[in-house]
Amino acid sequence: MDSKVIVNKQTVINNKKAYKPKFRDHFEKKDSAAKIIAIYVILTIALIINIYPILDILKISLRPYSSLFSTDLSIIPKNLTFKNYITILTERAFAKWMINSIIVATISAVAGVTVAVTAAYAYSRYKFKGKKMTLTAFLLTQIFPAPMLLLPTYIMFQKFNLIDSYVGIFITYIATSVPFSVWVLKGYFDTISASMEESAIIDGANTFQIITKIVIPLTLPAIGVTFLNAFMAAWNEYVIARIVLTDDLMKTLPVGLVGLTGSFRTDWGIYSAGAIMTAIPVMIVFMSLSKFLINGLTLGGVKE
Amino acid sequence: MWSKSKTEPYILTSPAILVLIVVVGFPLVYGIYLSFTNMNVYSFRDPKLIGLDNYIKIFADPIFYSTLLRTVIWTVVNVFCHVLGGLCLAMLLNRKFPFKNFYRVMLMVPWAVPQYIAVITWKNMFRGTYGTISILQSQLGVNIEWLINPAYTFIACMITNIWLGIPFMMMVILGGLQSIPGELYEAADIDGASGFQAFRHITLPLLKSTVIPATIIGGIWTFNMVNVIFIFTDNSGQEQTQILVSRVYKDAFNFFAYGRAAAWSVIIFLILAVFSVGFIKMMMKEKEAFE
Amino acid sequence: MKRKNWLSVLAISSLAVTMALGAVGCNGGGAAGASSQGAGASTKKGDVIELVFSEQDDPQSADPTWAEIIAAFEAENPGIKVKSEHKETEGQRTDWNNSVLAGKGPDIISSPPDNIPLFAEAQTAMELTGVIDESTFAMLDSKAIENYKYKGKVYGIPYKVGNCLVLVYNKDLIAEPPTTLDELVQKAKELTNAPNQYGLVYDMVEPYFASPFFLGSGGQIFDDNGGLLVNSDAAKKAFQLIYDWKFTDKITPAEGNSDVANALFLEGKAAMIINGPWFFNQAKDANINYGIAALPNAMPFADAKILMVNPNIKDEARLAAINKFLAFINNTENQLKLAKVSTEIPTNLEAKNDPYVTEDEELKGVAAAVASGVPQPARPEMRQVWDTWRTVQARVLSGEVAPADAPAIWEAECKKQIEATMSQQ
Repeated sequence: MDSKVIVNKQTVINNKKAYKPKFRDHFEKKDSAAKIIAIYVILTIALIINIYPILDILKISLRPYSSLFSTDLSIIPKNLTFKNYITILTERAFAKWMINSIIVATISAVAGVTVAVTAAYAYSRYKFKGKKMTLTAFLLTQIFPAPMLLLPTYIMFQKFNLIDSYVGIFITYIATSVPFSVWVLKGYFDTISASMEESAIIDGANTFQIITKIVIPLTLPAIGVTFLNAFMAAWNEYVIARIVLTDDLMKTLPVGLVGLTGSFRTDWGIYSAGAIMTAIPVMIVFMSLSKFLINGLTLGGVKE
Repeated sequence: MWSKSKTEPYILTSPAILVLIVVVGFPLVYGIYLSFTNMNVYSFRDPKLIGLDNYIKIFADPIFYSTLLRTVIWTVVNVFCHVLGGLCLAMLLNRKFPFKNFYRVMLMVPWAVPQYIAVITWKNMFRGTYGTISILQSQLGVNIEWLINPAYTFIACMITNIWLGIPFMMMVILGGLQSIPGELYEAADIDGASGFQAFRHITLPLLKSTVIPATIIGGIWTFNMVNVIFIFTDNSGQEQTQILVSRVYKDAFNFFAYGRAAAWSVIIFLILAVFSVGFIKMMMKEKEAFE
Repeated sequence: MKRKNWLSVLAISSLAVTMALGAVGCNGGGAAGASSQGAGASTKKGDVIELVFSEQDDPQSADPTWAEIIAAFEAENPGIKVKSEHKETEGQRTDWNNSVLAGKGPDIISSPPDNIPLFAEAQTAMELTGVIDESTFAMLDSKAIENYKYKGKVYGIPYKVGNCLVLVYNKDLIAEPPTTLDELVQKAKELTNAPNQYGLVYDMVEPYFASPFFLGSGGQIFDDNGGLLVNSDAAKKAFQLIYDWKFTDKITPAEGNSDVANALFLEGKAAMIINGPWFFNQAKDANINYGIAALPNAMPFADAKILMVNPNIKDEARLAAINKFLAFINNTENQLKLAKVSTEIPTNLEAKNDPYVTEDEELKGVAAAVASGVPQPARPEMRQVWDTWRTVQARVLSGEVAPADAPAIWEAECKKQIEATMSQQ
C-alpha cells in the first residue's frame, strides 16, 4: 500500500510540473460546483459537531464561579477569567496528577511494548506447539467484559494490599495493551523478509541482537503505533484507576478530574480548566501521529 | 527456515503470556468462584458458597431479559450509526479537495478526547435550561427532558456514544478505501457505470475485509461499553437506561453486592463467548494470520 | 541456538516488567509516605505522627477554617501533623471503603451519617466506646450521640447538626416567605414567568430535595424491624405535590438537577429554592438578598456531620494523637468556628448555647428546621431506598407514572432491590 501511495504522489507532482495547476484541479474532475459545495457543507457541519463539545468545556473554563451557567452561547465569555486555571494548578493536586499520569502511562507503555515485541517476534518467526492457541487466546482477551475482570481484580487487589499502589495498575495496563500490540507487530514482522536475520545468524548474532539491531529499527513505525496506543490507553483509563487509587496524591488525571465533580455541587469552572489541560496535549499528540495510527489499523485490511 | 532452539519461542512469548494469566486468567477463575458466593455488604469479610442462587435469581427476574434486549438494541443502533457515519465521512474524505487534511484531522477529535471528559461534557450539554442542547431545542420550540425522562436519557447516552465511535470507523474505512486501486473506478467509468453502481459493485465488496472485522470488534466494545452510561447516570441510572455491563457496576460499586455482580459478569461473558466463537472461526479462515 | 542467547532476551523483557514494578514500588512508597497511608503505618517513639483527615465540606468556604484549626492544633502538639484531604461525598465513601478494607486509608473521616451503617457492616469504622476519651464525649450533647448509634454501638461523633433542607427565598422578589403549601404555590405562580423566572426551583433528580414533604405528610420509610412502609398515602401526597408543581401549577422548570436549580436562583431567576445551609455561602457570593424559612408543611431529614475513625489503627501513639485531635475539633472554640462557616448548629454543649448560635438570624432559621426534622434511618438499605426513590420520582416527573401509582411501584422495586443485593443467607 505504501508504495502505491508514493506512486500516486509522484504522478500528482509530475502533473503539476506538466502544466500550471488551475483552480479546478484541486477537486475531483467530474464534480460539479454544487457537489463541491455540498461536500464542504456536510463536512463543516460534521466538524462543528465534532469539536463543539471541546469548545463547550473551554467556554465554561473561562467563566468566573458566579456565572458558570448562562444561556449565552458565545464561546469567549464576556467576563473572561483565567482564575479557574490558577485555582486548579495551585489549590488542587492537578500538577501531581499530571506527573503521576505521565509516569504511569510511560512505564506501562514501555514495558508493554517490550513484552509485545519479543512475543510478536516469536509468533512471526517460529513454528511451535501452542502458537495458534495462544494467539487465539490473545484475541479472546479482547472479548472479555471489563467488569468480569474488574470485580475480582478489585477484590484481589484488596486482599494482596495493592490498593493505593501502582503495581497492580501497571500489570493491568500492560496486559490490556499487549494483545493489540502483539497482533499489530506480528503483522508487521510478517511483511519483513527474514533474509537479513539469516545472514546475521550466520555471522553469529543471537536472538537478542537480532531483535534490537535488525527487527526494531526496521519496524519502528509499527512499534510507534503500539506505543502510542498503549500510552493513550493508560493515559485515559478511568475505571480501574478509580477503584485502586484512593489517595489524592497518588491519583492519575482521570480519577482526579472526575473526583472534582460531585452530585450536589460541582465547581464546573475548575473541572473544565483541568479537562482542557488534560485533553488538549493528548489531542495534539494523537492527531499529529494519526498517520502512523491509521497505517497500523489498516494493516489487516490491506493484505490481499 | 533456519534452525532454532525448540524452547526459544516459549521463552520469548512467556512474559506476555504470564502477564495475561495474572491479569486475565486468575481473575477469571476467581470471578467465576465469586459468582457462586453471597458476598455483599453483610458478608464481605466472610462470604459463603451459595451454589447457583445468584444465577437462579437473575434468570427468574424479567429485568434480565429486558436488559438483554436493551443491550442488543444499544449495540446494534450504535454500531450501525458508527459504520454508516464513518462510511459517509470516509467517502467524502476520499475525494480530492483543498483543506482535506484539516478536515480529516479535525474529524478525529472525538477519538482523541479522553472518554470520561467527553461523556461529562455531553451530559452537561443535555442539562436542562443551561445545556447547549436545551438552549438550542428551546429556540426551536422543542421540549425534551433529557435527564429526567429515562427513555431520553438512554437516547442521550446513545448520541454520546455514536459521537465517540464514528471517527474510529471513519479512519478504518478511509484506510480501506485508499487501498482500492483507482483503475477499477476508471474501468467502471469507461463501461458507463453510474456512481452508485460503482459503489455497489466495487467499493462495498472491496471494503468487506476491512469493515467486517472492525464492525465485530466495535460491536464487542459497544456491548461492553460501560463508561458512557456509568458516568452519564452517576452510576445510579434508571432501569430504562441500564445495559448489562452498567448493571454489573451498579450492583458491585453502588450496592456492594459482589456475588450477584460476579454472576451478571459471567452471564455477559458467556453471551459474548458464543458470539465470538463465530468471530474466531471467521478469523481462522484468514488462515495466514495464525501462521 | 545457545542457551545464553535466549536467556538474555528473557532477561531484558522481564527486566522491563520488574523495572516497572520496582519503580512503582519506590514511587508508591515515596508518594504515600507523605500522604494518607497513616492507618497502616506503625510509629516509633519520638517520630512525628502524621494523621490523615478526610473531609467533604464545601471547599470554597470550609477549607480555610479547617486549615486554621489544623494549624492551631499542630502548634499546640509539636509531635503531630495533620493532613486534610478534600473529596466529594460519593468518592469519599467509595475511597474510604476500598482503602480501609485493604488495611490502609485515612485515619479520620468527616462525612454524612448515612455512612455509619455501611461502614459498620463492612467493618470499616471503629467502635469508639472505650477508645475515645470520655472527656470528649462529655463535652457534647448526649442526645446527638445517642441519635447516631448503630445497633447500640457508637461508631461516630456528631460534631455539627444542620444537614437539613430549608426554604431559601430571594427577598427582592418575595417579601414574606410562605407558611403553608397553598400559599407557596400561590406566591410561586405569581412569580413565575417561564423561562425567564420561576417561582420555585429544586433539584428534581435527587429525591432528597423532595423528601421533606413525604415525611411532612406523615411518611415513614421503615418500621421498627426494617420492614418497608413507603407504600403509603403520605407518599402519594408527596408525589402528587411535585407532580402538580410541574404539570398543574407550572411553578418549576421542566427539569433540572442541583446545578440548574442553584444557577437559576443565583442568577436571580428563581424566587425560592429548596436547599440546605451548604448553599448559603454561594448565595452570599452571588450577592443575592436572601432569607431562610422552614419549609411549609414539611419535616426534613436533619442530620449531623459525623467523625469516624479507621479501624485498622492498632498503634497506641497514633490512637493517642487521634484522641487529641478529636478533642481539639470538638472544643467550644473550634466547634463554633466550624458552625459559623457552614451555618450549622454545634453539638458541643457550651458552643450550642453561645450567643452567636442563639441569636444569629440564619442559625436560628437552621435551628428551627433542625428542630422540626428527624435523622435519616440508620440502615444500610437506605441506599436501595434512595436509588428506587430516584427512579420513581423521575417516572412521576416525566409523566410516565401517575402519582397515585408511584408508591406501590416504589415499594415493589425497593423490596426487590434489597432482596437481590443484600440477602443475608
